[in-house]
Amino acid sequence: MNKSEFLAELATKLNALPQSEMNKSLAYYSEIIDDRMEDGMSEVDAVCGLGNVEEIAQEEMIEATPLPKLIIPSRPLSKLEIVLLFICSPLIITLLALILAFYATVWLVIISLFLLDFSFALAGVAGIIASIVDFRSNIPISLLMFICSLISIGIGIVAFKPIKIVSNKILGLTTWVVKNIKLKLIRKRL
Amino acid sequence: MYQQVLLLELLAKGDDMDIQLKRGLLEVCVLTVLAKEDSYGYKIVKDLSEHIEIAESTLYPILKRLEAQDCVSVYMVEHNSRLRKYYKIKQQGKEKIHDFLNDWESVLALHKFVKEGAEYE
Repeated sequence: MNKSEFLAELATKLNALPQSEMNKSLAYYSEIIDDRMEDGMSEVDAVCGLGNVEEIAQEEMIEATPLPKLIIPSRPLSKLEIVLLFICSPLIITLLALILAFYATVWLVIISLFLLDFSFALAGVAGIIASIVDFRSNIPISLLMFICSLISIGIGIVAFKPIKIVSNKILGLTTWVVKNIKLKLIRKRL
Repeated sequence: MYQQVLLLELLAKGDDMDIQLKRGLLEVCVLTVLAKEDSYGYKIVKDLSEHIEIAESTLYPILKRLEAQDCVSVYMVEHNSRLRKYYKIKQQGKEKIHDFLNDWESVLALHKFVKEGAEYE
């Protein structure tokens, strides 16, 4: 396969993308092929080394196409499909609500953890200020308050990173799930 | 040194490795290449291939994401009667490298802890 054949096939596979996105992609691969040839490769080797056109197109479609666009067909629905959709709508709505509720719960837990962490740090700072301001009225209690406030700030600082890592993991997991759903839907289309 | 070895071990694990983790690592690797000098697609792949096997088709979505995240900017340079797209790291990209290094410290500490635990058994 030569350069023009490769680019023509890639353009065909990416025709569902907006024209500007497709042009950017074609320009990128055209530049890469030219650079490879400048580096001493033959045109055929430069193209072959890029890999399978279908896989390249698949990867790009996954990145560029939003999930709803893959689920909702671009053609008009037939009468039978509309009737089936109407009959199944209670089940679909319940399922979507369940997924949304679960997802919202997970994020609310994460947000609560961040807020809890923040309140530990804030309580610590407030405690230190209060213990210094009121130090002379009751020295033992003020000392105890000072130490507890330091511990509170410590908990706030130490707990921040694990909470951040967990939230990043959940975000990563969500992206992974969406990507896999997209992959399955795109494989059906290509 | 230990940090570099662990990073390369993780990247070399390919498909078995957590896709998100690998994706994040590759993004930082690309930014690191760009932190040294502005570069273009083919050269980025060549520079990275000294450390990790990466295909041009893998690099393209990474560059697109980095551009969308405002981590890199692009400009065109004429080369041999054609245009070549250069990528330049932005402040956001530099911060991303720093964030990665900070996060990595805690991951390394955990890795060391788990490794010592496993060796103890």
